[in-house]
Amino acid sequence: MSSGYRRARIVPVVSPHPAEPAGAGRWRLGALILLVVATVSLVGVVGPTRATPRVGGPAPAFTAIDSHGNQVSLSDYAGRTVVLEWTNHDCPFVAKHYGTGNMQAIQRDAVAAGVVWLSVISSAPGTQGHLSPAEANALTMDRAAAPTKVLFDPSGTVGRAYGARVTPHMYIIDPGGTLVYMGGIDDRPTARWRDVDGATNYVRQALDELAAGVPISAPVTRAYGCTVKYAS
Amino acid sequence: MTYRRSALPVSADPRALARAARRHVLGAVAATAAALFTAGPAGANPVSTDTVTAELVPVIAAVTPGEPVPLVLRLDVRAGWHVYWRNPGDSGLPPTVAWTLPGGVAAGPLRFPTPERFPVGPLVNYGYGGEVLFPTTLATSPALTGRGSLPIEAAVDWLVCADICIPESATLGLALPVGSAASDAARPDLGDRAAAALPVVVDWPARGSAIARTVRLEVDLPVGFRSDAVPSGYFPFEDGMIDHAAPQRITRSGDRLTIETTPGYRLQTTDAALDLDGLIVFADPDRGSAARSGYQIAVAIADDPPSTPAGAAAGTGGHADPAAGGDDRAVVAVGLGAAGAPTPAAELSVSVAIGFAVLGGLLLNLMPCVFPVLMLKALGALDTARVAPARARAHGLAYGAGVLATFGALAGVLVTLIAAGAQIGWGFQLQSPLVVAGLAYLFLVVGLNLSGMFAVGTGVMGLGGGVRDDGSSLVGSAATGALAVVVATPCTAPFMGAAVGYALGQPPATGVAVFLALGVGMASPFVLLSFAPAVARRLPRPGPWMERLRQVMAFPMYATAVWLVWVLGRQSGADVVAAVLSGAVVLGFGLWVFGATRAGGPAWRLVGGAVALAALVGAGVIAHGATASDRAAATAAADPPANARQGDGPWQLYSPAALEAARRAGTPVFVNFTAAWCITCLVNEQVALSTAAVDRRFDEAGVVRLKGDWTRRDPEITAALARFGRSGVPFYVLYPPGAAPVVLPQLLTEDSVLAALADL
Repeated sequence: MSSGYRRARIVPVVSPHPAEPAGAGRWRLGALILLVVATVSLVGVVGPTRATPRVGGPAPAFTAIDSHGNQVSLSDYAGRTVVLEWTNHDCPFVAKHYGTGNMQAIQRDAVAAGVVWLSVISSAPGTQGHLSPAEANALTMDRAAAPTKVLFDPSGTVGRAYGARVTPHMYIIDPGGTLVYMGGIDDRPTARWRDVDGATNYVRQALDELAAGVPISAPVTRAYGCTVKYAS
Repeated sequence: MTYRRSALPVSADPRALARAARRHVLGAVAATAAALFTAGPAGANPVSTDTVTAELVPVIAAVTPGEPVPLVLRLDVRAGWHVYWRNPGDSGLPPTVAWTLPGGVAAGPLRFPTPERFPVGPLVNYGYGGEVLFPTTLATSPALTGRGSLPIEAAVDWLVCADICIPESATLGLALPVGSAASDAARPDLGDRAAAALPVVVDWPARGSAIARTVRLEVDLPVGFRSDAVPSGYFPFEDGMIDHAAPQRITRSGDRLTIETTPGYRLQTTDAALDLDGLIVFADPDRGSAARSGYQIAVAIADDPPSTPAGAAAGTGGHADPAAGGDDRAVVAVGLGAAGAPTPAAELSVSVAIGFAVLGGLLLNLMPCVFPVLMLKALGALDTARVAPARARAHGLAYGAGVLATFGALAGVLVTLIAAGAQIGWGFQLQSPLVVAGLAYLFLVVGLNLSGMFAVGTGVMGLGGGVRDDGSSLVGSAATGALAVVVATPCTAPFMGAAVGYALGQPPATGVAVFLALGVGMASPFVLLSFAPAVARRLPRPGPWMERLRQVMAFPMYATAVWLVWVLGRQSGADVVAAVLSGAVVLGFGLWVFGATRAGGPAWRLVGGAVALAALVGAGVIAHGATASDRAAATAAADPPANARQGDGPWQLYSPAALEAARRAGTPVFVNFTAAWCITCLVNEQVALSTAAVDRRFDEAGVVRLKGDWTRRDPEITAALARFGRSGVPFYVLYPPGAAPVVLPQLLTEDSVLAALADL
């Protein structure tokens, strides 16, 4: 994935009738209706290129291998609140939250409250953030992180199913398997460590609201960070 | 250039950190050295990292206290890396600046040039590679007078990414000299380049909606904008409105763009407001493979689902603002004229344009410069119809053919000139003093003919001849048709502005079709009359009264000639007027000789004809000579006569810069595009724009009044009209502060102007 100077992936559809005399009105009408029908059916059948789960809808099911070599499925945690954290330890935005201890603190508090915390690495082999199981466990130890599990998603299947775009990208699934939060970790989209203090932490806020049984005040927020290093 | 490193990349990438550490040591050494020799502001400038060179560049050499100070933040990004637009797309961050400024100086926002798309795997970012220029402006207080120099410090943060990302920062320092002292660091060229890369703020009507799994945007481009080019992409300002990586289906039908794409994550929640303001970007392959032009649009959000494309194409009416409640970003609101609606050309479809053209042509028959000619011709024809209906029909058709042929020729000339790149529009004929002089002569000759000073049997001058002649000359009827078109051109009827504007922006065949439709409209009453002998029977029988009527009709002709000479005076000044009037005397003498010798023998008649011809040629030479020297003078001075261009009372001279300045100052602006040869314009100015009530309202609301005088050719005004899809005057537009401009009808009343000003 080198520099992205490729031309934009845009499909220009040139009007078949740029300008025609009035008599052709009927034809144009027909052509436009055809175009609309074609467009609608195309969207309806093929669907968007990338799944975007809906907040309020069911969280996409997945199965992945964790850093200890065990198979982990979302369904294993039915009846519990699950947090998904997309991560890449070399990303400066991830580093902001681990370097300041912010991420570890939320993990500890959440896990202590009975929440399942899954850190997901979708970096493809050879890209930034890709780790072997041993390296991942060492990293967790080194930085005193407290996730329930660290999951590997080198093919990007899980990441794409959730529409994860950046690291850190955060998702919360309620005990009923419904996606209740997706977005950023907080409201300060910077890589400056000093911005952690005083930021509104959306994940903490949503977990608290979920536990208290009140509606989540910010269920969809802007995720900021480095792009997930997906396999092309 | 000092090299002082004050940027410390904050990165957890071990390689980046190692590089940073190396650089930091070097930088510290360099900084110490620099501090020993310079006593500048705190930050160095420029600052280089491995991937980016950042520099804060002054555009002007010195600060004039009270005046804005343009600066450019220049980031030169290493190949393969990119920095980000204001909406970075799926990831990334735009550059930010924290300023440290002396008192009396305030910084404006960083402005972002037109971005490009950077696909990264399944994701898309918006940003820039290579050299990118972010202009900004410092406001300064007049109280700074006397200061030696102003220390400016900018702490710049940016994120630079390839497949990995590095957040970097630099503190850039600059000392701006005040007053006459000049800095050699100023780079006006950089300011120009930075400005050229910015998107153009446009007021194209745009409507947006999000239904089910489609975000849909409809944009009405100005007529013929970039002919049939389809934009390369749409870039929203707000994150989460569209799925950045999803394909954008962009179609263009005439001048209506439709963009459809997948909604972004924020539209999942019901309380997220749809905000589709952003850029429409066209590729400019002529200027290089990466060249692009951005146009910034404000999008009105529809409450209701938007019309289907088919329905929208058929819709013609001035789209009222379909904006959601409280959304005041109106699409260009188009005032409706009393007589119907001069529809914005941008909204016209081909069939509607042709319909308007036919209507406009019909109205032309009522114009004061056309009506007398037509009425006399009509009476003559009706007289013929009583005795020989077939001949009357033949005359009617000949007249119609003359009208159509002339409109066709006119369209051909216009289309050819435009294809050749000329900046002209409707009424262009009258921007040439020579044409105006020729028309003045023509009206004089017609008037003298009607007065009975001379008579000719056939030909162009055989006006009204049908009354006395046996009406045998079909050529005469065709010539009358041609003449009617020529004399009608100054009288751009209200409906014609939009139709002609549309025609000129279309492919040549469509343009010619619209012009021919004008001709059909103009010719039809007379042609129909010639086919309806029943009407003829109801008219009074011919008699001496027709001769009297003929003579009376001469006076509107003289009046028209006077008006044309006045236009000429506005264009070229008193000397040219004197010369052209002298030519008129010569012409009058020649025609008198011609008329007086008609009754004589063949020799006399020959002499009379020769004298008349000589007079005609002489008058032409005089007019040509006078206007030619004037043209040369105007070209040499590059400055039209003062009386044509001066401001007029509360009206200031229009220029794009004046408009821009007033809008930037937040004052409402009213622009009156007019021309001395445009009767509708003059009438509007008299009855609606300069009345006491309107004057008072203008003053109360603090409206800056600008007058764009199009009496002579003016490419800036032609371009301004073209932005609204017009190619002729009158044209009135009100710019309320902070809102989209409002186009007023071509026929103004005091009430309609006051209504437009009421909201200010």
